[in-house]
Amino acid sequence: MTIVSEQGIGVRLDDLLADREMTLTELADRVDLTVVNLSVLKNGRARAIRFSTLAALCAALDCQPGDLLTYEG
Amino acid sequence: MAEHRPSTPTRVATNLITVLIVLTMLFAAYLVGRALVGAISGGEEVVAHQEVPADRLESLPSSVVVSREVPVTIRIQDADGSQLALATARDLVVVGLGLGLLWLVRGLLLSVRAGDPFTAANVRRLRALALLVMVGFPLVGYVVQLFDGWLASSTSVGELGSTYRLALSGPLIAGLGIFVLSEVFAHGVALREDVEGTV
Repeated sequence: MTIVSEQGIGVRLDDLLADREMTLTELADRVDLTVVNLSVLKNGRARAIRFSTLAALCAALDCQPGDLLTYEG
Repeated sequence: MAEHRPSTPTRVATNLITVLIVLTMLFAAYLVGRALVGAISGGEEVVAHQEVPADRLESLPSSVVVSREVPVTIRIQDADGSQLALATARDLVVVGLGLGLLWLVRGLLLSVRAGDPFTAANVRRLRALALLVMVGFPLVGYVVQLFDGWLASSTSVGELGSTYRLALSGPLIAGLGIFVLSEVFAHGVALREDVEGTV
């Protein structure tokens, strides 16, 4: 499921976690982010994402930024 | 995220402000109590501050020139009920302004102590402080002069000086400085909101 933020950015974190059979807590541990912050991203409430966070997520989920984020207009 | 620990100066300042607020409220209660006791049993002394124009000072030698008003204090011994009421009301106006200022500053300090100073509430507090300083100080100063004049008129001495001044420049500059600080805080709030949404 893609959650779209108010800026029109779709976040496919739920789908990627389900595909990799990973929980949000496990991902948070791997990328050194709090579960709260990951929830903010997952639920489309983030206003910005640092490159360091994006790189850590892509490494942990073995994906490209375009797999995680989409532009929904 | 590391737990925020307030600095020692912040903790000391917050506790000091709280103590000052309590002392101010106790002082206000003392003023009211003294007025009530004095009205019932008599014997209370109050003072009225006046500024005497130079031309009313007759006992000085001609070589002594007084170029401005001289501050004097009229001691009213065994003040009656109305004099006590005037003196108490005059003092309570000043206490009220002081309490308002202390309360706003306490709110600011508590938010700093909690590690979260850049809030919309603090922007409002700083704007209120600016207004209180810019308008409150001159207004209270003028009202105090009015009360002192009425008190002096109630005595056999009478009102010695009739110059009522509004001290504007100091409070205006200080108030403007606080207002500028409130705008800086408003900008800080906007920046904080941006940071909060960043992962």
